[in-house]
Amino acid sequence: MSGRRFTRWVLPLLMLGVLLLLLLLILYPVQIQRRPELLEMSVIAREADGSAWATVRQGMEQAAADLNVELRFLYPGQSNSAREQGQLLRREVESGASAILLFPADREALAEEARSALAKAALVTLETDMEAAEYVGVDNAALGEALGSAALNGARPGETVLLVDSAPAGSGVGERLAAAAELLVSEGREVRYFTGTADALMELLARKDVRAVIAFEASSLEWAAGAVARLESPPLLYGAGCTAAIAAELEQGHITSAVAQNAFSAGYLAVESAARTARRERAEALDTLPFFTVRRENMYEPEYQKLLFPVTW
Amino acid sequence: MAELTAYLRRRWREIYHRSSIQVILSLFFTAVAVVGMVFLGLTLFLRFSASNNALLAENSQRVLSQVNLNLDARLREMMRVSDAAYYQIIKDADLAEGDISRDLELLYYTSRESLVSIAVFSDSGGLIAAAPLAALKNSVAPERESWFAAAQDRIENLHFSTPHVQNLFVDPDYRYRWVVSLSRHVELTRDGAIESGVLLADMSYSGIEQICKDVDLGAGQGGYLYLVDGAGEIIYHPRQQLIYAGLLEENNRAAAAYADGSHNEIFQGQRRQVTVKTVGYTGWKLVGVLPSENLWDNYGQLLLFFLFIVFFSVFLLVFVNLRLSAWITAPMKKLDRAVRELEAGRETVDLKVDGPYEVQHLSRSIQSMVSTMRHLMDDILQQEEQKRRSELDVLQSQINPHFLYNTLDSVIWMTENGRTEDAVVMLTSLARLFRISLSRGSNIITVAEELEHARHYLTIQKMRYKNKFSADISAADGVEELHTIKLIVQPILENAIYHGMDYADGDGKICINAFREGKDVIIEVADNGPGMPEEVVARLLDQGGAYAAAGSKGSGIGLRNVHRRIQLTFGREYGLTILSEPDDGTVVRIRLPALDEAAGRRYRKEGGQ
Repeated sequence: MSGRRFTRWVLPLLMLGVLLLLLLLILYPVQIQRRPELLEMSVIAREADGSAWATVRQGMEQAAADLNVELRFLYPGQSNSAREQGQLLRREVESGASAILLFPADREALAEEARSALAKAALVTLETDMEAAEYVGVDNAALGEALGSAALNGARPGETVLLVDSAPAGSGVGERLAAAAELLVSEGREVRYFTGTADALMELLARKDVRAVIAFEASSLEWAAGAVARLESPPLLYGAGCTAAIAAELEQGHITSAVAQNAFSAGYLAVESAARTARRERAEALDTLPFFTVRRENMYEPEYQKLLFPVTW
Repeated sequence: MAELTAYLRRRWREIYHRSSIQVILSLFFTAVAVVGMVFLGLTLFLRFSASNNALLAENSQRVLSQVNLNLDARLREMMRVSDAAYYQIIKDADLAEGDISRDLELLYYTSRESLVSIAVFSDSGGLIAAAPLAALKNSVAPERESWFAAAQDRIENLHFSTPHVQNLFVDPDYRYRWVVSLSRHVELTRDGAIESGVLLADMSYSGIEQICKDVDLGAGQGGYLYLVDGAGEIIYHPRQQLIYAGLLEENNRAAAAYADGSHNEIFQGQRRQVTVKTVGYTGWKLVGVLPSENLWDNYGQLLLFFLFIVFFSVFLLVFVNLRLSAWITAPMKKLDRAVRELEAGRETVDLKVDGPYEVQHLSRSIQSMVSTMRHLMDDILQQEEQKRRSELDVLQSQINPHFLYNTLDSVIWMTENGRTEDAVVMLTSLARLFRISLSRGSNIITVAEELEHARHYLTIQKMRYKNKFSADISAADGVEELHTIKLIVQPILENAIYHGMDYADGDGKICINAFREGKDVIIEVADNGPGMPEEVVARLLDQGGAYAAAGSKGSGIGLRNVHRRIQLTFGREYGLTILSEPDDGTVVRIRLPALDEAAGRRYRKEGGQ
């Protein structure tokens, strides 16, 4: 091709092409809003819906609104059923869920299912850490030790501390129990375990040979408080959780102290972490969440108010 | 730096000298236009962004004013409820005579949209009446609450508290609600006596939220609004729980110190436009936040749009400039092309160029110059030709007197000795010789005539030299009809006789042979004389050498004349070649172009000119 022909024909045509392209770009509508694609996320709970996890759910819903996530809450028919949780997990993965939040009932029983799920979806666990998945929650052993330490103040050496065993040993709750038991035994307290209903607990406590009771999660703490409230000379009750009922029992003196974590944060961070993993965004590794010991005397201090009583409109 | 400047200047000069006027014009037009557009674009962009910022600030202030009005109305409503409770219920009632709980309950139900609870306490914190819940928790001591203390400290004012959980009353549903408490000192009447008391109205948080939640501080800019008290404590924030959970931070403490109006702040590395409005009675502050990042995001889009416009214009300008500069420079380019053609030697070149005045003037000047130059060149050519002709004539005329003298001398000698027949033969040959020499003025004759001329010359010379040598003339078929310049063999023969035959003793031999060699004709003159050394041969045809200057007999001037005449006529590839060895004779080869009659005529004509 001669230079003259290029200058006369090809160059103007090329330039006209570029002009047209630029014109199209100029006329292309400006995109102002940037919102990520909607993400479907399944939440598999450990027990039936209840007040115990209302705040966690509130945090999850806030994160879902912020991050354009659609949450689907799934509850096992039977509380603490790892088998049912495994089935739910498998079903959600097969139905194409991009991200799953799991409150594992038993880490060993769910290990295989979790590994399979991880290959296809983002998996984040709450309450109980699992080797394969990201974990959002407190250091369960430390929390158990904190409860044990609190009970040491109420139960003198040789006295009995009753530990309410409400979840499988392979769960975060079981881990708390084990840590508390170890501390109490090492400090010369007699440790007994209880599995049963509120009525059975009340019968047991009526014998007055238990100095302190520890419940390691919110729902068991709630019904343990209910049982204690009916006794004339109840033992000291310690526990983990922060619900309105627990706050009320704390205020009425049925619970001596409660170790609470910021459940709103846990829910929010879990959804955020799972969404980031599912969207393949860079996410920093999460530290375990802090927890606080709340007593009747300090529960209305501004910081504990914010922790115990989420703002509702 | 100086080196760099010098380098850049040099590079620019190189580019400048290599480029055409069209390219330079296009570049300069485009550069000037681009600079202008960028300047204009930036000015507009900065002006627009400044105006936009001002508009957004103004919009934020307008929105905040509206929210302030709504909030003020809500607070005044609360104050009216408080006033109603005090002036219509408490003031009129004697506590010893009747219970005011029912009246309070009625008031509560008329205002329950904005009220959580309303209660009256005695000076010592004892509950006098409350609605809707009436039982005080055992664990609480109202007199130790901050709202109680505030009411007692400044009895003339109404006091709005910071948000807190309402924990005074026994609620069977375990409801803990966040409220803002409005407390005031009241005078209670009991048995006609006046007592101090505190009236508490707990304002529902949702009332504030309703006012603040859907506020848009700028379409799609990501702005939001929050409410703080005078100390910066958050009363309402759209992400309040995240802040309480420690997952988010807000610059509320600093915002509380801002004066009303718009401010720019940098918080957590983010530039934000913050607009503050104080809520009249309470001292609370409405804070509107507009992240500049989002503004700049939009500005970025705007800048991108500007850039596209600039690029579009640049391309358009380059395109237009190319065509424009091509149009402007077309006459100059045409003139340039014409001059190039002229340089290439083309005879007819159109130098008439239409264009602006300067180009037309230049065109006319060049035409005039070319015309003048051509005339001058013609003159020079004519002069050169005349010079050449003169030179040829001079060279040719160098032969005749020389030979004529010798021949006539011999004829005289023969006549004196009674050899009249020989004298007749010699004179006849001389006459023939001159006839051929003259050739009616033409310098081109046939090879046959040239050879005849040589033969007559040899006849004369043989007689003069008393047959010391013999001669043989031959020509290949078809050669004799060809044409040549005249009198080219005779000077060679003359040289051969003088230098080769002078000392011969009847055994001298001169052979003339004419033949074709490709497109050339060769006339070879060979003698068996003593020959010459190589250096003498080399000097013989040297036009500028010492031999040439000598001009004496035997200096080879005849050979050089012939050689020069041939080269002047036919070109440098023709002429003489001398082959000689001492004691082995000499061969002189004349190389000529093979000219047929037509070609000969053309040369004759040129010679005539």
